Amino acid sequence: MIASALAGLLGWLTGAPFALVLGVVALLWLPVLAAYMPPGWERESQAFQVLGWTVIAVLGVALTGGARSPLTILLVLGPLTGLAIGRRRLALEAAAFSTLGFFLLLAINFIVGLPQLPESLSGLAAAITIAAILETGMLCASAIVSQRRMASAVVKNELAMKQTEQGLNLRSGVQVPRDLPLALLSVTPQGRIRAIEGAVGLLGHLRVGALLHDSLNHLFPDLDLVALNRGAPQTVKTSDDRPVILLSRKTDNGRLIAAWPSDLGDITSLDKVRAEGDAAVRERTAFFASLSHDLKTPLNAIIGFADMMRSGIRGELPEAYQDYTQIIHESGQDLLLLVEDLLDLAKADAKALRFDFEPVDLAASGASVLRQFAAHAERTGVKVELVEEGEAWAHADARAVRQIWQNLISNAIKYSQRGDRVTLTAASNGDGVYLCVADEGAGMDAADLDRIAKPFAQGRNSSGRVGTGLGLAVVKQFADMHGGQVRIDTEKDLGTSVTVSFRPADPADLSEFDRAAQ
Amino acid sequence: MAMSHAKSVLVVEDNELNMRLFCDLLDSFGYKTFQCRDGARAVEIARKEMPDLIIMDIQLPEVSGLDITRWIKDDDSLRHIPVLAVTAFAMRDDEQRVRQAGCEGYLSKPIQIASFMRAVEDLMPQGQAA
Repeated sequence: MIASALAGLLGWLTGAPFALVLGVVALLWLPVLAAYMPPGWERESQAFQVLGWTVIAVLGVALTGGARSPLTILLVLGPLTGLAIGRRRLALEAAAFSTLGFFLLLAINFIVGLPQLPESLSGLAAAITIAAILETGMLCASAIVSQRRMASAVVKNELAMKQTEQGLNLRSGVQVPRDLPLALLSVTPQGRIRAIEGAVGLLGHLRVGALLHDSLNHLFPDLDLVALNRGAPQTVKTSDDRPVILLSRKTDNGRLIAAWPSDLGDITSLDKVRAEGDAAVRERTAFFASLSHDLKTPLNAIIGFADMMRSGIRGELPEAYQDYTQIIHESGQDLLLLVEDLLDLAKADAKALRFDFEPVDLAASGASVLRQFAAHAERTGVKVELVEEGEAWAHADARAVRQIWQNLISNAIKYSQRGDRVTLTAASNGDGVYLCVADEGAGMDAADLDRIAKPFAQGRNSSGRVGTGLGLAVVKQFADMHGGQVRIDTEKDLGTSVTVSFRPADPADLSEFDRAAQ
Repeated sequence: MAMSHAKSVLVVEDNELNMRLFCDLLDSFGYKTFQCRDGARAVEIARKEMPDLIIMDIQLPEVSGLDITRWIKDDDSLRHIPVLAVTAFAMRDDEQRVRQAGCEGYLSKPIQIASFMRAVEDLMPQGQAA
């Protein structure tokens, strides 16, 4: 502004008519004045500056002798202004317009010729040229600074957004959950909205570049801006009567305002969501409970009556039938284990399988299951024995441990031949406890091993007996849920050994358990 | 095995086969049995027969065995009779719920003869002749 005034003065002193100088200076001031438009008109103001300079340049060049005029330098002012205020697109448009104008003038000059600059005005033209060169230098410097600032603003904005991916921990200590319809306003240190991210429409119409306080005041007349700036969460009602929580945090780069619907954001409603989830789990649990009931009720009769018959409570059965009742009883037990395995896998799948963790002695559990299989082992001629190595207390669910033993022993007997031996071990090794069932049976090759841990995939042993793979799938599922591991060592025709490791029982729990037992 | 033939057990169970299993089993161990297939009538039969023990199926069609147990434990004349709950649910917190309702014993189906008879004998009041 001052530069163009000085240029005008210089032009007048070198003989230009005063009115012309005044007109030229006023024209040159127009784009400069455009920078001082009221708030809310930033974009228009910027466009006006850039386009103003471009139009002035083209006019000036045209009026001062065309392409040969010293005022040609003015043509770079428009694009440079665009760059300086950080509006690349506008700068490009201005550059295209200036270039087009320049070539048009060149063409006109070549074809018809433009009037030469009168001698009296050459001083003014020279002065304006000098001012324009100065202005160009300043704009270049300003453009470079602006580009740097924009780059850093982008980086900082990215940082702010990253925080929201993990849930935005705002200064008030309120943790904003990640999956909420969250709107984020990035605000410049001068209080203008730099960017709106996330649920853009949540708060109503907000414009980038507008003053945040004015915009919020307009949308929410009752909002306490002072409290908001202090970091206290504020609740506002949107135009569709939805309560929204606003939270403001100071950043290195101004402010960050987060907004989310209060009916999703407060703790009570999160509890509600959780309660609904729990209800769904309860429903599934109830379904499995009644399924379990309906399957076990007939099994109760089968196993119970077979048990009565084989124990001869009401008198001895004829020899031949004694074996049959034993088989009915065993088959009932097998079926029961299958039912429980299936239900447990289904429950695990539906996330409805719950364990009660307590100290469990793997050795005592193994001995108890061994008694259950004694008659079965005897009938099939497989020798099953437990290697006593003292107590082995695991942090486990007692029923799950029992079922692991049952599955492993049942499998071991199934794949053994008369005269084979099945060895049960329960022991602790260093930092963990484990149980192991080893047989001398059919063993498995790599292909079998691949299949067995998948539920519902059938394995077949060398003698053609078919296994469901269900048992090992349950063992693996239970071990996983116990934070333990399943290890299978097997060799075709030499036998299989399955080891399940557990976390050791907490010594504190164990002493508690001892006290309770006494 | 049974100490006294006079000891009696009321079996509350809606499933015909399970009813027969329990009664035959108890009968072969020398216990006298009363049958109740309709849970709503359990308290009435208990008052009439005054059994030494009640075996209670928890999943009954009309009314929960837990509720019947609560009615029994609310009744001054019946409160002293031990209740052995038998359930096919065997869910995690079942035992706790069953004990809270006032049942003295708890078994899950399918029952094993040995553990079933041990539970019955453990709960049976000693030295009391009916």
